[in-house]
Amino acid sequence: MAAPTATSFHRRSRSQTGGGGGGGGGGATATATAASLPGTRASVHNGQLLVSTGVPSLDYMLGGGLAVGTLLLIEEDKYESYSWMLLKYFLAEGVVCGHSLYIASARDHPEDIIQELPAPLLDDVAQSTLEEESGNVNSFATASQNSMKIAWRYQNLPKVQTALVCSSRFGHYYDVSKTMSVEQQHSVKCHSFFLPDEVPLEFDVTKTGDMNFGYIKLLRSIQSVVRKEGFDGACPQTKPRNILRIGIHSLGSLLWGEEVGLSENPEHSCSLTKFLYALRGLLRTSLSTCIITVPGHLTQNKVIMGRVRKLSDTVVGLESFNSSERETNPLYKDYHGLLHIRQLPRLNSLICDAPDTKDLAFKLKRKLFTIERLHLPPDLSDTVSRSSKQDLAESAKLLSSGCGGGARGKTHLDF
Amino acid sequence: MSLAPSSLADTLLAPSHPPSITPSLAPHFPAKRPSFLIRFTVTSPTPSSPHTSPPPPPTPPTRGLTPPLSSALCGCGCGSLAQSPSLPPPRFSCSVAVERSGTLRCVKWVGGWSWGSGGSGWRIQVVAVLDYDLKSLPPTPSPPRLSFHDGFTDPLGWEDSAGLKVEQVCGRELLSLVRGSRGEAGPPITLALDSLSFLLAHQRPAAVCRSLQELQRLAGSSGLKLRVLCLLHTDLHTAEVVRAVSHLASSVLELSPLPPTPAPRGLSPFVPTCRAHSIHKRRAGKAIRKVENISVQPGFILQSVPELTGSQTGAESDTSQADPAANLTFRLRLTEEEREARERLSLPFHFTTERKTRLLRGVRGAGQGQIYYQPDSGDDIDDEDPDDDLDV
Amino acid sequence: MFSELNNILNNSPEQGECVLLCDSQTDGNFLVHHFLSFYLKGGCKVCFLGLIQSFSHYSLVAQKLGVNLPAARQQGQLVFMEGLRSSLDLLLTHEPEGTATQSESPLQFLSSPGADLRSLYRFVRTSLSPSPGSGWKFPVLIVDDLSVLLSLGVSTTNILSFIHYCRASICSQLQGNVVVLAHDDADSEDEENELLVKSLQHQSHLTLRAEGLVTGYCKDIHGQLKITLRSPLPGRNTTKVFQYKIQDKNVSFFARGTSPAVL
Repeated sequence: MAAPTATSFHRRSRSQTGGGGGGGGGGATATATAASLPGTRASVHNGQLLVSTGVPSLDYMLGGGLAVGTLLLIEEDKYESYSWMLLKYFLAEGVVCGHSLYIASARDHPEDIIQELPAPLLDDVAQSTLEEESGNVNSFATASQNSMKIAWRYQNLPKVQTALVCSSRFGHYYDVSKTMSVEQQHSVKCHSFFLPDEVPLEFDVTKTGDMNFGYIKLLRSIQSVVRKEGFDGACPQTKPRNILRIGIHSLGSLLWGEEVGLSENPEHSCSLTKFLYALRGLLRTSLSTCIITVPGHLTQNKVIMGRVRKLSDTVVGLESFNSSERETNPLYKDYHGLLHIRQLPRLNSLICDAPDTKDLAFKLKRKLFTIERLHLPPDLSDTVSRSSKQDLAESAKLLSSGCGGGARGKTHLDF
Repeated sequence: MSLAPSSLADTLLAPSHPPSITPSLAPHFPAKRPSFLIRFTVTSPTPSSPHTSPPPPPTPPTRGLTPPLSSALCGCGCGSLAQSPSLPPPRFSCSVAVERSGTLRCVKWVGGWSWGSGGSGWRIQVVAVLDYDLKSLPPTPSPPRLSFHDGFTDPLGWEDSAGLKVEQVCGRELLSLVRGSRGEAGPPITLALDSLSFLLAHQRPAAVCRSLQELQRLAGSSGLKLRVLCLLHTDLHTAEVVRAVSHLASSVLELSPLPPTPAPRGLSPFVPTCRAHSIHKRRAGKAIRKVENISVQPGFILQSVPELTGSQTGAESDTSQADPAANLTFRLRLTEEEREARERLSLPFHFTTERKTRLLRGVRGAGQGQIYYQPDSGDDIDDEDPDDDLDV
Repeated sequence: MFSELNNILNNSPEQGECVLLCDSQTDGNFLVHHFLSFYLKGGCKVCFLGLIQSFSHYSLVAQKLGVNLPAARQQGQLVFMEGLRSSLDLLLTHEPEGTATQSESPLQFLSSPGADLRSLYRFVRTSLSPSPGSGWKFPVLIVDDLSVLLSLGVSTTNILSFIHYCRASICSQLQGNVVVLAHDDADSEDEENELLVKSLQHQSHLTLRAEGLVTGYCKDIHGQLKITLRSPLPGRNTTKVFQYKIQDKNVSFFARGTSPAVL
């Protein structure tokens, strides 16, 4: 699996480069070093300040993490099974790292969202790091019990070498079956925005001005939080600087009062894009990151999605198998869905950290959300039936993606 | 069919003397040479040359796009200059430099060309060019019958300059513009609009077309012969708008690029680059349609040739059907005797007609060849559903 | 600036011309960085409308290309308008049309819907008007990027009018250049964007189009660049096609099929 080697590589290099990566992330005014801000580190490639998304394998795919000052857009899968998980991972990571949270939702109350956050696997991590750091000293006790005859060089290594071994400073693992303890939930400052509370139903959400009023209120709220808490560096050094994690759930759905894409000429057709533009300006000038999930019906609308993608930095799309006929396709029996990386940002440089391959699939296990390169299973069927070969070809065609999107030509080259 | 340009056009278009830029033009282009030049020379005609005058332009004055190129090409003749005494002395060469323009910018040079090509009386006309897309740089001294009007610099009034604004474009304004550009009465005027797409982007199509119609009416009522030439970029408008505007024009010239073909080996390397499809609508009678392949050479010579059918371009393969049974080592055909012998051959179970009728008449119930047939589901042929797979 | 691209482009664009940069299925921002550093190194006065990224992004990249943006800004060679910073307040305030505003910001169109880009044009005009004794060569306007104005609710007609006025004043009167970036995804079905790009193609002399490869994603070849130069005679445009690979400090261009990874 790719993930363990990735984390170990980064850990080693992180100790080499230290915290001196420098450079404010994405144009943030403060030049923060990784050491001063909790839960961040400098990117290996260009010194960008990164935070973890809560899913270490997603961090690896995005080039180390999510850059501070940028926006990650998640295109939801059809029944919203997995994008919801990603949002919760992101917020849980913020709690564990000690960042401030800002949760905006039109459907669930932010309080309920916080109570559903998964519990971090800190104990395992602590235990495994203890074992590692203690080196050979403590393992002598166990060594006599587990002495190996042939592979005796390996008997000092910790017994369970799973993917859960990682640094305690960047990227944690969570147990989805348990929720976070209450005191941990309240250990960080959490700001919330619940649309039905802010904009009552009698008030016509689309009334004021050119932009959706719900968006205007949300922008004003985020702006006031950023200014008051000093995330934009405006405050003097009274309190230690911190990162603000903004999570917005299902922006653009009907619950936000948004009717774009439903009719030919809706009234406020540019509300969503104006909101994203203003948010981009806010993020670039403060120490904050944002994850926004966009509902499935909006992702079908190519016009809107084209514009929305250009206004976001990183765009990731989820396609789960439980909503399509692919569930029974033998190709995909090991995975829960496909992950499409639609766009990666080029921040402060000409290049971006493009992954090796764009054929990625994800699987949600109890303690792990893995993202792997999609391997076609070996063709071990007894009968080489025509239909299965056709399915393979069809699926393979759908997997390949172009430099920025899908392959443009209809002819599919096999190399 | 010759690939060379028509000789008549050649003598008219190619200047008899090597063209020269008048020195006064040089300072206008300090950094680069003029990228687009229309040159034409009016030569003094010999009195004995026949005056081939084409039919006069149809009246009432047509509005719309340029007349068919072919008629423009061969319709101009060297007429006697005596017809209009106010002509300047012969053999003046005039260069009009226009800024670098785009692919389908035929209007300017066609307009300028059709102006300059004829020294003949009926053909002298005044051309007024209204710029929107690109700015023309009129040369000095300004030629007497060519005027440029600047709609490019400030069409929407952001700079508060004096000039024709897009909102002000209406029949009356255009007429005064056009009238002001010519000095004396008589010659017909061509108003070239570059481009109509700009006006359509800022005003409703109906408003634009009605202003042009008003212009025509006002011109007609005051005795002016006016022709309007408009350039329209069809990819900037929906197909419906293009169709509606073309419907109102009496002549439509459509230019489309030709795929690059290798230069044919021939007399002169004429490689057509554009396909021009011209439709000239007459009020009585049907429309004249012509398709030509044209090319504009550097030095501004227009060459056109009627569209060649596929077999003559030389690039297409021979379309005659090759007989597959020829040139084989074995013989697949029948000679006459063999054919007769084959027909005479009687096959087994090939009954003669007597035997057939005998059998058909046959003994009732003999059992020898009776056919008992019960129609079954296979005979149930539904004409509307021959494959029997409609889901009713 | 990328030296290989300079060699390819040779002498174009000349003065008084309009350049269109468009990208399709990939990111064409490297072309903007090229032209920005090219004109700054050439000693021209540059007005840069950075609507989509922050100033530090451009300055960090320009540093790798050998140009110091903060210094240029200080000397007055570069006028940089950062759209992201000033946009938030304007978007949150709403003014009905027709009200007179005391202070007019270049982005005034954000607060009044359906407004035209007059104030933005005036900003460009004043920043590029020749000041005596400055010693800069011809003025250049670079816009990055134009498609984001569509997302902000400006109509296509208003955007085209703005570009028209910029061309009229900068290209014709001041003999400068205008470089515009617009996105052009073929399958996006965005009709307004398509109309915008087509109109710009009619008006520009040089078009550089960055596309993704037809065969899909490749780590060694990042895309294909099509350069189209318009000629005054119809049907004689010259088109050149190159493939490119983006590196940290440079972009290498090569003819199709001659990537060093392939050969």
